[in-house]
Amino acid sequence: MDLSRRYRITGVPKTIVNDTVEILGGLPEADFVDAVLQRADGASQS
Amino acid sequence: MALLSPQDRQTLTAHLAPISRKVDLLLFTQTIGGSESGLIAKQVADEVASLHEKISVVDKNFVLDTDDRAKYGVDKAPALVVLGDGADTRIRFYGANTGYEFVSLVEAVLLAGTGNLELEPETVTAVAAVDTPMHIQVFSTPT
Repeated sequence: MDLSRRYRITGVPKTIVNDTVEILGGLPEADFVDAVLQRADGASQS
Repeated sequence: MALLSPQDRQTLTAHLAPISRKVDLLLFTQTIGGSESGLIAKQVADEVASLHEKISVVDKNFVLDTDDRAKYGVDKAPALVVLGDGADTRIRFYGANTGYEFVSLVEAVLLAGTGNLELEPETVTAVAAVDTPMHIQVFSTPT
């Protein structure tokens, strides 16, 4: 429950990258890789 | 009572048949004061291990096995650390692998036991270029 609050988990699956980037829902492989790698560089964070 | 039906066991045994490397599932649980899901996590891990002779469950005490906790970065229980041929795959599961997460565990075991990635070549190239540590957490529910 603590983790759910900490990362604001209101729906699943929800992916958290490096404690900062949030990806909600399932994505096609290519889109998921883009989201994880590009956003993790700080390009776009929710 | 077994979690898997005879039919499910048959299907999963065939699915895991390609495993050629030893897979160790390090299961960290806390008996006293720990989560009730530890018992379920243990049952799930044991049933998966019973599907192939190369899969083993190694029980760890979350409170007492502090060296292993530190070695594998385990900070909560129940936790499952997946090793392939003795090497850390860096795959961790927290909580019991029930519901859809049972499939996630089976696929992680298959990956550790075969080394076969089912990813697009572009994905493998992109991930191989990562040069800084990344921590990816996926939250799910057992239903």
